Amino acid sequence: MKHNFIFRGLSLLAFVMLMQSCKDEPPVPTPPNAYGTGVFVINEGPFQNGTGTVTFINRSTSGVQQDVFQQANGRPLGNIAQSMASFGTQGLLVVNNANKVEVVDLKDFKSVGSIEGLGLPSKIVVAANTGKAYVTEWVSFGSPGRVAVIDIISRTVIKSIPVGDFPNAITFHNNRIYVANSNENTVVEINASVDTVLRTITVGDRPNGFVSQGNNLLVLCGGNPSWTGSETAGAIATISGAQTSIASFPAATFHPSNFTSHPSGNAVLYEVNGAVYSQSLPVPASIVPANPVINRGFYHFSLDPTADGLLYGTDAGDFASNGWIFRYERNFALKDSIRAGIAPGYIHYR
Amino acid sequence: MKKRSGFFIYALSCVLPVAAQQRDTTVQLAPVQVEAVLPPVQRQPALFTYTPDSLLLRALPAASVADWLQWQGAVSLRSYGPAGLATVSVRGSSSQQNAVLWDGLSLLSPLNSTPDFNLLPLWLFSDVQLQTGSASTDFGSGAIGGALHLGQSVPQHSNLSAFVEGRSFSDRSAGLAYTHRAKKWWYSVRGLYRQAQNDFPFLNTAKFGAPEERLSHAATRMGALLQEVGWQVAPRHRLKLRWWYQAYDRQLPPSMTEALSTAAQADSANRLFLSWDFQGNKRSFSLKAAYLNELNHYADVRTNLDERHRFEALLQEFNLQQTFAGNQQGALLVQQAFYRATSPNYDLGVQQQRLAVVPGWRINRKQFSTQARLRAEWVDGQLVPLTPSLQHEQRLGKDYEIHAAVARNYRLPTLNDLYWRPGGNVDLKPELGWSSELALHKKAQYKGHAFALRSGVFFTEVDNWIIWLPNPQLGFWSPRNVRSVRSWGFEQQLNWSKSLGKLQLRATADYAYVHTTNQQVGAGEADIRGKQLIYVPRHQVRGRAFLQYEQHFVGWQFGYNGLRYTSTDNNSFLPGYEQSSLLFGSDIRFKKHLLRLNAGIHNLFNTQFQAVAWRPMPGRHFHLNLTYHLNKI
Repeated sequence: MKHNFIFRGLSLLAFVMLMQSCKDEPPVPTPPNAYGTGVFVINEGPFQNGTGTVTFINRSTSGVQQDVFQQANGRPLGNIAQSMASFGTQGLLVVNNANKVEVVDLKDFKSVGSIEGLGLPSKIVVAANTGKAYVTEWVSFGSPGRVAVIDIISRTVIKSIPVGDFPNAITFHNNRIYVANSNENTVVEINASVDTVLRTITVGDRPNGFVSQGNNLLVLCGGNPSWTGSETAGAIATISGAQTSIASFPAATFHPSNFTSHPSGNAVLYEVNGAVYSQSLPVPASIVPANPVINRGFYHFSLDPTADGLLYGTDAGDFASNGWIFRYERNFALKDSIRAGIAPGYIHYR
Repeated sequence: MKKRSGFFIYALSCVLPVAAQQRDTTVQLAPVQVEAVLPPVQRQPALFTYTPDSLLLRALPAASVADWLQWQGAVSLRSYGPAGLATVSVRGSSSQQNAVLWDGLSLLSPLNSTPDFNLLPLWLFSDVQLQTGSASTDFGSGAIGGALHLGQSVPQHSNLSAFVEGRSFSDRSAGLAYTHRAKKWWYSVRGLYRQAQNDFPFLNTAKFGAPEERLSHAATRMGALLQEVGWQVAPRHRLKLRWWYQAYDRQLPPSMTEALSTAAQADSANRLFLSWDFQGNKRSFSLKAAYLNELNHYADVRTNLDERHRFEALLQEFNLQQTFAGNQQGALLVQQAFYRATSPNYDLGVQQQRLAVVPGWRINRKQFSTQARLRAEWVDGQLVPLTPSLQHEQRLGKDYEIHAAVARNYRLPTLNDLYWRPGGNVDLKPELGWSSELALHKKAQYKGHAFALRSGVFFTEVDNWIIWLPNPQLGFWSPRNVRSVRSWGFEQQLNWSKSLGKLQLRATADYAYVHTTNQQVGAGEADIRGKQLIYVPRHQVRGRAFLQYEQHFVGWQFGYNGLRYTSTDNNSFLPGYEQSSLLFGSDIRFKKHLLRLNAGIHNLFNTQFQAVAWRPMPGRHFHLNLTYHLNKI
């Protein structure tokens, strides 16, 4: 009995020493340019009392790294991470309730600075070759928002452009910036060379996403939801130069979201009523969703635009536990599923 | 706010010159005192009850119920800061599964059923008691984890009490209590005013290098006034009328991961209470009525929200007890409630009617007592499943008692659950479950040492757990009855006291183990099955000790909260933390006059901790107060 006790004591001591030795091992060095290419899943994090996180997926190995910002910087990203863009070797992470854009070096994801003092920033796009990023700012709910023009090198806001209510989608198309006023029925067109508003285009109610298709820009509009008291059907608007045509969904109960390109390049994908549908181009005058390509809904859904890129859909579950990423082949067959952080709401492909 | 605070200052100044008095007899020095048991508590005796220590009340007259509950064994406090929202989990309950009762009538808001324990100042009440365990049969919807009882005892003398207190972080408060006792009637008024900046320093671990910052946008201001008129109509008949007005304005500070906050909240409540009690030899009854009118005003310039949520309630209760031969007792409780609420989130104003009938039978014997009760409740004419309860107390010799109870319990969906736009779900069912508990009480005396041990186990299972989840078909969040939660654990409490001449010592140690897990979950939620509920620590340890010598005392309080998960899949958590406080007090007596000086050091070891993720809590801080009592005017 006594021997047994001593043996147990020694075993415990050995275990503790083993654990200690494990602790003292040097960390695995980060390979150079570890985040140069890959898929960045932006997890919003729990509402109010939490922090957003970033899940990184290596396309070639399918290796996954969770919470890479915290790992690299020893601090959380901030409350409600919203979106990401990249320029050169830098990544720009938009953190909504922290009113900032965090700038990281993509070789190790270490923060190199931040742009503070924004007003509830949401979505970001980089205008190729200009060195500028455009960030939508809600500012406050129910009042006009704005777009912050950021010089990426100096990490400063060089201009603020007033836009409409709740600007929540932005894209770069034909050297112009397009901003969706998501609580209105308008899209603002901005000249990316001089950063001035060219015009405000009327589309359907509540525009929420863009897809570039050649010279045309397609805008998905969700329509007014039922709780507004004036429910309207969703629509797809096609902006073709000075002309805009609007195609409506069949009934007011259709509120599409998650607009993205079709892998074939000659159609678009959207989600409505809990399923993903394909819409061939050009969009007909009335849209009839039929034969879903994926028979489920997602919190976020988009196509990896790189060659042979997969389709990525996220599931936020109860928004209080880690979500999932579902990857689909280009023929819409489910490939695999990957753990994400809490509330995976945006994906940046690079 | 300026108008309101002016009103309170006026109200206090009116009653100041009226007379001399003392708050009540519970703050007298000398022996350890236990608060009187409230009649509503007697209706359904709890196996475990907690009352504030009289020295704690003396040392912290401006404290809220939340300030007290954080030191109680089975209670886990979820605090957003010193004056922020403070909810509790009792035995693993959700923040909506605990009742708050004022002389037996529910104070829960029908909008969200989430009591904020920082809005309940201890100064207003002479009787405060927390009972743990299911009490749905008597106290209705939501009394699953426990029930907090607030009340006023009948004054025996005319007294006057007043205090002023200063705390760290510009926290200032003042209170006054006056009671006039005549032969057949009495009048009492208690008022409290408190304001604070709450700009305490903390290490912001959400920022690089964890810099020290000060909490911003956290100022609070509150005033409360409670008046009572009582009339002893006849030797066996008593009438009471009370009015409780309270206003609480507070800025809502940002979390560590937010840049700033511009949100503010103003709560106000008007509560009227009328009761008639009859106490006969074999029959007693009480008739109570209350009118509640409460407003929650939330405003945030950044999000452009300016919302007023208001409810009115008309509550009535009739409670009859009849003693029969053979020490048997029959009881009948009838409760009626009418709620009316308005909110910008409802399409229209909404109403709800509740009617409950609770017959019961009790057998009292020398060695045991057994009680059975059954609650039938109709909500808007629809019967809620019947909720029976059975309790048994067995005395074994003079030192041992065994208590056992089994009860069905329930919680009705809130008006927000039913009617919130968008997402409200009128098809929700009540949360429904069973709970059981077994406890052993033992008292012992050994060479002048007095011991009291309370040890118990509990088991609760609640089905149809209401949870708000996103509805992808609708595009917004909506509540559903999708989960089932099981909670089990045990509570231990050991009390010790000893007198050495003029020196009195006493100490209490509490330990609670709470295992609360999701048993059934919704589609796609397999990852959270079997996982501990968020913000419910498995281990909680509490300790407190008081040393009293003549007119002086020293007290120490200790609390440890174990690890708390912050995500439902238990991947994220907050580490456990401990905190201690030291309290000191000294008295000067002159005839009927008593002057008390109290001081305290809080968070003694300057622990940096979070009760809610990324919500900082203050490090070491201090308080000093001066209290004047005039007793038996």
